[in-house]
Amino acid sequence: MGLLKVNTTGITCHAWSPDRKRIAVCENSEKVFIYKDADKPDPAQWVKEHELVGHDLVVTAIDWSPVHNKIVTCSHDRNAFVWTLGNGEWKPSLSILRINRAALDVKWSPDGKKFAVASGAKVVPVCHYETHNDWWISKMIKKHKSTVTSVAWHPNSQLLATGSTDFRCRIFSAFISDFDQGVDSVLGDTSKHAFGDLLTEFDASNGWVSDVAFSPSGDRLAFVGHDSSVSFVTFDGSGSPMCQTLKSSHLPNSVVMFLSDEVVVAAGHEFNPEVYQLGRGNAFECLGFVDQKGSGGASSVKKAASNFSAARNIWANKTTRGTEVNDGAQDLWTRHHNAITDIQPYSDTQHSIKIDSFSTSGLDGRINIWTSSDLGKVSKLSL
Amino acid sequence: MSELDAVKARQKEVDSLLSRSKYTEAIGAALQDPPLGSKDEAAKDINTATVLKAISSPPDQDVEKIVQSLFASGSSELCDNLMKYIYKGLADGSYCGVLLKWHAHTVNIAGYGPIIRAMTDRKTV
Repeated sequence: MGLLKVNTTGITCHAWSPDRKRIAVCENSEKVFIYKDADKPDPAQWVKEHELVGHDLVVTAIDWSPVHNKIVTCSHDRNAFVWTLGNGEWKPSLSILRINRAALDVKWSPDGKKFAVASGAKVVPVCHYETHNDWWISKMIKKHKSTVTSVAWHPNSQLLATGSTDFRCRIFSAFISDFDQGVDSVLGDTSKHAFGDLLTEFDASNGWVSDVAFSPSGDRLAFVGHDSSVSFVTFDGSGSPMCQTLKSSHLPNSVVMFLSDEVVVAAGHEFNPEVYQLGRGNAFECLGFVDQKGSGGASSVKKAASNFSAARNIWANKTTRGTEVNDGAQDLWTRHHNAITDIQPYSDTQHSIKIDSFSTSGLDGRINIWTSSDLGKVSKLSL
Repeated sequence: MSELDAVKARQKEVDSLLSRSKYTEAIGAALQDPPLGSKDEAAKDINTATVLKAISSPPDQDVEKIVQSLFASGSSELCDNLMKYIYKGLADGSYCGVLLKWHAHTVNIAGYGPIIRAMTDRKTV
């Protein structure tokens, strides 16, 4: 179900409203569109409702907080905006990021009080709201040696994981003493560390770390590297965390997400989400792809009707896929026809921490929704 | 034992396996534990020569079988190393015909992962 095809220039990111009736989509431009009626199974019936205009360059990430229904977006223009709905209109408020390179990823903390921005400026601004000035002010996490590609919050909203192009994944304290209460966490009492302290780092990847994610309980962490590796970290409470790295035989993944504490899905340049599950011996193993041949992907590929369109297809294939072969057998049968850029939970995450459906967007300009019945086709998977 | 000594010892071991036509074992041994990211260029050159000699020895029809046994060794390590040496050899350009055959079989059996890792790894062979 759920295939939105908006354009041919790709979708850089998307986000669902808390009730999953609306979706915010960036079509590789400086604008973000909000579609309503996005709960209808036929995406042709989704209606463009709002346009969020404010950024000057392409928007790199959107996050829609379930806590207070605010949207945060960030862009190559080095800005982040927090959008609030009032009188039927989404109004932006500026946040003072103080970065001199592009912003690449943004995430609300689970409690909605802060958001963190990954940037090319080797820093991670963590923003919180300042009431008397009516703006979002940032505190900087430094200590990165290169561009930060992604951020992920621990469920307790006080630890922040980052992935960087210096091949490392790190965990920092994002404890802000003004309003955070210390809690016991996988890495000790959070109030013991000052904001911005580096708590631990992992160098399991031999390539850029493209994305990082915490599990729903916060006891596990996963990150994907551009050397086609997926690494899983388990915090068992006894001193040093355990890190397991799987090197895949496919193209690298660019996004990763936990469905439950035992199941991880990663997607990227292979056009097809891959599932990993905790198996025997407390080790993760690859179960295979979610998109399986004959599950409906091929029907969306139209056969060339004339010589002209056949010739056109050859050129189109050459530019998009680097091959001119398009003789039926070689047709892409996957539901995504280009690299996957974003993955988001689709099932209700407010009432259940387990995710049994998710959505992906790609450079092919498509949004696919993967339901529990799609996941049911993955052998040995138990959600 | 210095890196150079280790590499020379491996060269001897591989040569003796090759002289007894034990190609699979020879190539497996040659690809074990390469001097990744070493500053000792001499060690890297010797090891490259060892690997290239080993993989250009077996007859063509054995190539697929050997790659399969490397891949079956459990981790992707050996195929990754093989791919790194294939690219290094191709850059040099003297064994291209043989190397392209190995390249094709490695991709068929171990997928694109080894190519990605040969390109991304900053610690070169």
